[in-house]
Formats: sequence, structure tokens, C-alpha cells
Amino acid sequence: MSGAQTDGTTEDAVGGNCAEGSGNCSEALRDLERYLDGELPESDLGSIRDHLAACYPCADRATFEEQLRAIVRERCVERTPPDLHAAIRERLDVMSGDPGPSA
Amino acid sequence: MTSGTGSEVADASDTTERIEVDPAREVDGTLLRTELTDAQRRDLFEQQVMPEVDRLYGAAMRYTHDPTEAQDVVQETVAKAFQSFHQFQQGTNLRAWLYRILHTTYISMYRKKQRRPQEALQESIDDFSFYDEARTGDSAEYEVLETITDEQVKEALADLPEAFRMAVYLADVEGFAYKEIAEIMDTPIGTVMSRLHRGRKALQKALRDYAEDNGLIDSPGGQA
Ligand SMILES: [Zn+2]
Repeated sequence: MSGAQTDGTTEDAVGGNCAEGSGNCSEALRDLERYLDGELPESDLGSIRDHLAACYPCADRATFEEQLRAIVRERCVERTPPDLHAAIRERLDVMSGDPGPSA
Repeated sequence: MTSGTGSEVADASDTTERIEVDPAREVDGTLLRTELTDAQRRDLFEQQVMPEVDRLYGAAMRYTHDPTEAQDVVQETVAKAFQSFHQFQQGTNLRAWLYRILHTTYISMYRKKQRRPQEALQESIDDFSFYDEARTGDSAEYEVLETITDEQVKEALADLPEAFRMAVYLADVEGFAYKEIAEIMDTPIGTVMSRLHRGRKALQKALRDYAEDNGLIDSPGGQA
């Protein structure tokens, strides 16, 4: 588990074909989800950034994951029913004992 | 809270619970304290909470899958938020506070009639990789993703067990941090992380199947 970062040639099976790159592919892939979530501790950021900069397979995987998240985000948009805001304001008016918008 | 909302009533009773205001958070130079008048509180609420309604509705749709129910949940959420707005600590995380209310509101309104019991996700998803499968076809990986439609994403999310669906939604669509999701769902961070991990895998698997339906990815079998 302790990172053998400097052996130059990593033959990690995890990435499929990570033949070269700086650092350890399995370590990078283990951290990738938290990295993309912005949840990786400061102290671990350097090594995954270095790895992604040097290892094409891992970088490509990271890009795919990011694109996938973007797709989910973009495809999930809902159109708010037009009356919802008005209905909420009406309810707030009642709750605040306001007879309604005075202006 | 339903009646007798005279503007002076709140002031006397709330003196022990003064809202500390970060000077940077002053709105139009007004100090935000419990001695806000009802009208001021309403204005502030309007400014801070109403802009979130559309996003709350989006989230409520992922909770309920039904526009009428989603509207009910949002209305109820905003009403509850308004009722307890004086307790909201200005300068703290308003969105997480609102989503927490949304979450509990949904649970109290609809969890009982949920169509499905809480399921776990099957074991087989752990070594699934959409990325690896997307690379087996002729199309570029991004092309494969691009074919996935709005409806397919929504369906794929809807098919996830609720706890997984909400974790994934709150992280990937709403951009909440693990800690915020833990607060919203009232669950330990470790649970959030494992729900996210497994929920994303399951989501990817479902999306992969849609990509196959869309004809842009080979049928399974090539990959071990
Ligand atoms: Zn690598």
C-alpha cells in the first residue's frame, strides 16, 4: 500500500494497459473517485495530479468519468411547473399573515 | 406559527438565540438578527430561498418521480424552511439546510407509500467499468455518452434504490460535498462514500445498457 512511486514502469493490471507513467496506477485509480469529488486530502493531491499528467490511460479514464458526470448533470434538468413559484408565495403570504403583495 | 404572527411577538421570546451575523453577510446594510420584522424576514427569505426553488424541484422529481408529488414536497419544504428561517444561522450553508429539510419532508410525506422496499445493490457491480466497455466498440467513448438521452438518465437514476439514488444525485447533480450529503441524509460519511461508489457503478451499468440499446456500444461478452 505504501506508494512505490518512482519505479517508472508500473505494470498494474487495474488500468488494463498502464505500461508507463509516473507512480502507481492502482493507487491513482483508488483515489480517482475522491479526487474527482474534490474530497482528496491536500496531501494526496500532488501524487494523483502528477500521475494523471504522466499516465495517459488513467487520464483518459478520469476524463471519461468527468464526462459521464457532466452527462448525468445535464440530462437531469427539470422544468419547474410555471405555477409553483406563485403557489409558494401565496402560501408564504398566508403564513406571514400578509393579505398579499401590497405593491 | 399558524396564527398570531404579530411583528413584535418573536422579538421578546428569542433573545437568547441571537443569530450571529457575519458582517459580510449583511443584506443591504441591514443587520440580520432575530429582531428582524416579519416583513424583513420575508424579504430575506425571498432573496435567499426562492432562487433555490427550481433546483429543489429538480431534486424532488428525483425523489418522487411525479410532478404533482414533487410540487407538494417543494411547497412543504419551503413552508417549513420559512417557519424555521429564524433558526437558520446566516452565513452557514443555506443549500445544505434546505436540502436537509427537503429530505426529511419527503420522508415524512411519501416514504410510507414507497413503491419498493429499500433494496441493496447486487454484488456484481463492483468490478463493472463503463469506461472499459465503452472502449470496446468502434465509437469514441464520448460519442457513446452523448447518445444517452435525458429520459434514459432519469430512468437509470430512478432504478437505483433510493439511498443510492439520492447520494448520487446530491453529489453529481447538486455538487454537494460528502459531509453535506451526510448531513442531508443524516448518515455517516463512510456510508455516503460507499453509497456513492456503488450507486455510480450501478448507474453506469444501466447507462451502458442504454448505450447498447442506442446502438453505439457492443453487446456484452467481449469483456471478461
Ligand atoms: Zn496510470
